[in-house]
Amino acid sequence: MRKRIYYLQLALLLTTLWVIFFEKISIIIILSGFFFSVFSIYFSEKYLVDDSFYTFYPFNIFKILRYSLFMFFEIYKSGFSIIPYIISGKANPGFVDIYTELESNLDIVILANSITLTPGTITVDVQGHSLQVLWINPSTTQPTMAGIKIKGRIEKKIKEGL
Amino acid sequence: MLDLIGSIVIVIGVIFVSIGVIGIYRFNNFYARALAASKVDTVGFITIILGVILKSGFNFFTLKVIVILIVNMLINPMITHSIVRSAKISGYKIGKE
Repeated sequence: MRKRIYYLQLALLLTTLWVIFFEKISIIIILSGFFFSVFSIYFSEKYLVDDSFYTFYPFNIFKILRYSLFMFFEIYKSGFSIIPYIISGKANPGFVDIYTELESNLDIVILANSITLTPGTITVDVQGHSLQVLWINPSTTQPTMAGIKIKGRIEKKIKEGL
Repeated sequence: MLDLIGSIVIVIGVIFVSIGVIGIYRFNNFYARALAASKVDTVGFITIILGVILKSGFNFFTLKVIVILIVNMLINPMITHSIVRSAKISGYKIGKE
């Protein structure tokens, strides 16, 4: 049942994209868009991915929206917090190792990209559960403390489910 | 009214972009420059796109702009990551050049 809802939302997402690119809403466009979405999902699963999308990317569109709203505020918060460093010109960036408790590869990728998306931190390397992060002004190089400061809220949000 | 608010938001975005550009010229170290430049294409870009959305109202153009925003937010961290990672692998040191 969950799987069926997942594929329905994937098809509806692609149909929405199709309608947006056509710039017109009519029954024929929506039906043809739905047909082509289902066809492309089927085709790519059978011949390109060789596995179901559900095992690779089990996302939920509402949770993605909630997460992007949260990321939006995070980006602005850290965007404002690094303005003083840029204006004063005093910054000594450094590499910090942090550890994550997330299990699946998709979650780690999302965490690493979210860290890069917030201004002031860039993920440089990922090996297993340890991430190497470039930080604009490292107040601490100790992994757990730096981890809480860099990714505490983001990791908690991803753990709640995506 | 919405038009005016959109213009103000676009001006705020341009201010963010200019702060990033000032950062590029102010720092003399590759990594600090990369960090300042990554501010341009996250905060500045989102703010300018929000201004464009407010200015144009709700129509298909807005939806296309939102698609651009989503694609940019997916690709942008990968580009920043690959630039800094390749710099680190090729042996840039933290400190003055």
